[in-house]
Amino acid sequence: MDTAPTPLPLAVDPAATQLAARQLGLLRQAVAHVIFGQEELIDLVITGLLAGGHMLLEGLPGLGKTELVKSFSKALRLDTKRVQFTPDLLPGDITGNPVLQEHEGQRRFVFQPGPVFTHLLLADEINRASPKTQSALLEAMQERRVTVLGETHVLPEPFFVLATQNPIELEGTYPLPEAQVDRFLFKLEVNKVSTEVLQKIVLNRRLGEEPALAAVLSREQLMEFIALTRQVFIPPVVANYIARLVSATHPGGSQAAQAIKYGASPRAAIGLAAAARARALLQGRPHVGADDVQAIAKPVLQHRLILHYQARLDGLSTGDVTQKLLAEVPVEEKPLPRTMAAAKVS
Amino acid sequence: MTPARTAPEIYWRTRARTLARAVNAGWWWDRLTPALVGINLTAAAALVLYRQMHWPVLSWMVGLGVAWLAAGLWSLRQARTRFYADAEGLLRLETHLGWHNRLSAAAAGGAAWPTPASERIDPVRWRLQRTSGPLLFSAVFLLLGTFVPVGSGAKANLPPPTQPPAALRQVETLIETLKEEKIVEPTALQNWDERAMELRLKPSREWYGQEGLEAAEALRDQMSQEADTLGKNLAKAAALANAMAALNPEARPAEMNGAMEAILSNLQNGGLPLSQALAAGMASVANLTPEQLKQLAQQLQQAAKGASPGAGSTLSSLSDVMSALGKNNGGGAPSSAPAQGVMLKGQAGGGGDGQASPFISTGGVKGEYASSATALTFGTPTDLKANKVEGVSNPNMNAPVPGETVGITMRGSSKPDEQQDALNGPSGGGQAGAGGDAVWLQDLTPQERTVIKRYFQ
Repeated sequence: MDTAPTPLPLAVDPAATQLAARQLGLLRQAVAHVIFGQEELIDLVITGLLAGGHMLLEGLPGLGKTELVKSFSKALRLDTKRVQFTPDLLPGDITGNPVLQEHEGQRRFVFQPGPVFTHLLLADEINRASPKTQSALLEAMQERRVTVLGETHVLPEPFFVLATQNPIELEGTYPLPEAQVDRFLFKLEVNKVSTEVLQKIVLNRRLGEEPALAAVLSREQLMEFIALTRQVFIPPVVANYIARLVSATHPGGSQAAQAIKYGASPRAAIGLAAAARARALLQGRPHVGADDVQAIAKPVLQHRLILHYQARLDGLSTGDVTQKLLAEVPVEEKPLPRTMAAAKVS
Repeated sequence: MTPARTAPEIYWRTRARTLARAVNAGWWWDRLTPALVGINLTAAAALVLYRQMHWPVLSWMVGLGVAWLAAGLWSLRQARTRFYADAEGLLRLETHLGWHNRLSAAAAGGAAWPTPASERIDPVRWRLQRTSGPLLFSAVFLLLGTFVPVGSGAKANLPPPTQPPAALRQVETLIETLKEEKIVEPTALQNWDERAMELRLKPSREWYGQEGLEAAEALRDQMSQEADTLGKNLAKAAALANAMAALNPEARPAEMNGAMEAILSNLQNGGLPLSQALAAGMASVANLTPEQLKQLAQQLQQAAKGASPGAGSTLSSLSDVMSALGKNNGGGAPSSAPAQGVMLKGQAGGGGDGQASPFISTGGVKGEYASSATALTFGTPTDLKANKVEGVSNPNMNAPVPGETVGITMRGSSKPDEQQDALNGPSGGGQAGAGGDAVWLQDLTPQERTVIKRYFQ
């Protein structure tokens, strides 16, 4: 009797990914009940959390950036701290300071953890702090640990930084250097909402009143989902697509790259892969598709590209260039011959 | 050990391979079509040439086939860099189906193979119209090359001629005749033979070219003229011998011997010198008996006919001979003045069928004109009044008929009359200008004539 051959066990159980997708969908719905008209932003934040990356939110005041972070904090039952960055903020105010304490007649320095020791850190207007303070935070973001007076203190897991910056008030600010902006997985633009959404906000919000939001996921579940995300499979063709996309950001790599002075780094490629995995899990798939890469390419790449001065004078933004790159770099590496064309999907 | 493939995997891999092969065929066709178009157009032009030159079309067909095959192999090599592997086929399939690279993930072991599709999947479609246009165009050219009327290039393929031109054959026939009849000296005949052989030895395809035909005709004309002169002189000698045979040796004028010597001299100095046997006979006429003279006359007559069939002699009677000697001309004894020539305009080598007088005429026997520039003076020469120029009637200097005397050229020691009015054209009984002047006199304008007339007054 012939028996069908047994397929090899997969890296990720499709059932697990689908279950994760359902639960993450609940998280999405919960946050969307509080933050109106920002579904795409919410999806990206969830994607970023699953990918284990930090995010930079850029938007005008009052669009709900802080509220967004608070909502996630409540929905995920994560410890959240907020730091308002000001020019006089010191690095120790971020990382923590040793404090001299007397105990049983002996004086010793006791480390007092700073606000960075949390799960979700909201760094408001990060560009207002001095470069030294920014560096302290960025180092913590990268290393996930803090070293004070020779003593290393590991940050809790998960650890996310959601930094915000105001795009209009540039006077008296310290723009983040490109090398440090690169540490953020996403740069998300918080756009203004439509009139209908605004009306809904008006009807459902009261000034000074925090909206109620029940927890949907626990920290442990989130950690599981983060681990599951790392197991999502990337096919070689998708990895090839990511590599070609990042290579195309460099001068000479594509037509769109003519406006680029410096392209994306390999860290960007790793970030693309991580974010694509997260999105695939969010979609309930155990494997990544090229469309996942295309969906998260702009938030991953746009803050890692440095344009030529002339391009900026022409009003070109990194987001525009990223869109051009996506249009120029095909998913299939080898094109079709002239005598053939891709059939339209019926 | 590689695990056995499941049915869905086999299905999708097969579909991917089929798609990859189709794409690869498209790439090969993409590279092949321009080469085919170029080959077809070149082959069409070559076919027209083949048909025009009547070359074997089979070789053209073989060449075309070889060119097509070479183009096929070359385009295959060029297209291979673009060929799809099975992985690319899977990618095209899953992109078309919108499956988020599921097939690729399954092929890499990261996902399960989906169940085979129940409907036909065509991720790509052909667009042959992009390449069929130029190909059809070149095919039309091939058809045109097959059926379009072509000019006759058959000349190049006709078999070479086997016979030389008629002119050359005439020369060879004449040489043979002269050899057989032993009329001409063999060494001189050999010269003509060599010239004829030189033309015959040229490639047969050149015989009927313009140069070949002209050379053969020039040789024939030259030899014909010499043979005609030979024939006429032989005819003269034959007549003279006959005339001498009719007279008693004592009654023969001495001039007859002199005339025979003159004829013999002409015969030996021509382009076809007389053979030694005949020359010896002519040289000893003074010592020959009448029977021997008759025999000699027969030989000369036969030789004359052999050299020039038309060169007969009408001087069969003594009276004809005597008349030819100018005795009944009333012009006095022929002088021994230097030979005078009569230049005839419009008259070629002459040579009628025996009607022309063999002797130079000072008025001509029966008013006929001599056809030979050879001058004979014997007997009492006619007083030609060399110091005077006797004009001939020719009212229309611009349109003389062939054979009409338009002037008289003075040769020898006679000096032209310096008082002669060179402008007065030939008129009856008047003075005539030098014959050669008539040529340029015709071209003068009235004003020029007035100036020259005033100068010579």
